[in-house]
Amino acid sequence: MEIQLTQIIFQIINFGVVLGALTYFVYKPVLKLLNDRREKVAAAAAAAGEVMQEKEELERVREKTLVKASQKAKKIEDDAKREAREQAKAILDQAKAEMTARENKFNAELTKMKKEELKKNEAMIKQAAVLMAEKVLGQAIDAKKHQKLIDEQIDQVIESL
Amino acid sequence: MAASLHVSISAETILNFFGLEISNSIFTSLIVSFFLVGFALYFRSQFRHTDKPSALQNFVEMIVESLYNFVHFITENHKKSALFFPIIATFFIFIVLNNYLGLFPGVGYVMVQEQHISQSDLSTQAMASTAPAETAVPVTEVAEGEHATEETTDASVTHDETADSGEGSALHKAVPLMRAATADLNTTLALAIISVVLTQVFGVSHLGLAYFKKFIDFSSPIGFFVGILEMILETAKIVSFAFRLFGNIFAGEVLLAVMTYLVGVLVPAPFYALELFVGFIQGLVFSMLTLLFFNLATKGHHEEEHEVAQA
Repeated sequence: MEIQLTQIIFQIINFGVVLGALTYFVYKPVLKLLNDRREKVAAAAAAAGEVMQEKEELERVREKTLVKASQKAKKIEDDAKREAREQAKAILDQAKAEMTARENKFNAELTKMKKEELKKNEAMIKQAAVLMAEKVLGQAIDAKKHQKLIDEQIDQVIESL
Repeated sequence: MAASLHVSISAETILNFFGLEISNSIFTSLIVSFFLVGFALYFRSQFRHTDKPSALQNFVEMIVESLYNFVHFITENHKKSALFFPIIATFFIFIVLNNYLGLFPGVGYVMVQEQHISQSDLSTQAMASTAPAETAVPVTEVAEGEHATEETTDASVTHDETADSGEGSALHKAVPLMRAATADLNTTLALAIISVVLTQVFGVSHLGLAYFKKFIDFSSPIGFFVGILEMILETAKIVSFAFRLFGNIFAGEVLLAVMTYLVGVLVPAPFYALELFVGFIQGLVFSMLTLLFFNLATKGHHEEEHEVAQA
């Protein structure tokens, strides 16, 4: 078994050449690629994390908005209901008031018409009563006495009504 | 028996290139290196900075990311991980591929004539080394048990026909064209030296001159001797790294060669599976130990104490 210095040196150079070629043509580009890819993945993961955070934030805002909107809607609904109730009450009151007013007016008009009709008929009744009395009694009475009698009779008739 | 058993503890020279002896293990490691460099170039041309990578890119990304995570698991420091990762990953890939190439079918069976006989063989095969590199001829038929050498149990030493015809009776030893690079001590020593030298370089670059305090400590007699032990330990690391990897892979090759020689086709299959596992584990062990030494060398004394306290 011989140890030859030239062969050892040759093998050292041989290994050096292989090392240089592999380092320059294989390791460096591949490691750079792997490093870039690792950074890319890390960046994508960070971005995904940010997006997730944003999504969660949006979800919180959405929920908050939903709660607010729901509260507002409830308030609007309550207000609308209350307003509707008030309006209905007001309309009802107004209708009642109108009805009462109309009723009163109608009653007043009716009373007035009744009085007017009674007044209208009063003279006729008085005349008819005088004629009836003259026929019944067959005696002439003076005008003053006659008027007094009629008034008494009419008053009795009116009271009886 | 058709196939011969070729077991040689050292790599054999298959080519003499301007004085540099190219052994079969260097040839195999060159194939691995060309493959890796070619693959790196091809990969870079196909590489796209995209989130939808091709199957090849996906596969490479998976391996690179796994190895990086493995390094980072030990260092727990991105700066250190980025610094150590290329070396650790290359150690792992280079060693595993070299281990596996040695297990390829036919790797140990394509033979050529050896171009240079080692010093121990010179006495018996002096004539064999005279053949020029260009005349290396693959030997397809190997005579069994004709000529045994001192260093091998090879039965593949054949008569050189050209030598027989023209230059007399020169003997040429037929040797495998390829041999797992990690089954050659020179390769494992080279890798071990790289590992240990880089450990010192990283130690000094991270701690400055304070790194040498663990070797040179005059504060107490015990500290002084511990420093000497540390120095011996650094040297022992080279031996440990080199012989562990060489021993495991070479032993596996011998085991496979013997099993194939003795039994034949089916029986070696489980041993091949075992060697695939061993090849992977040895690559992992070498890389992990190197990484641990890198990490330890770049940690200050107070850092270690802090870790112990935390533990």
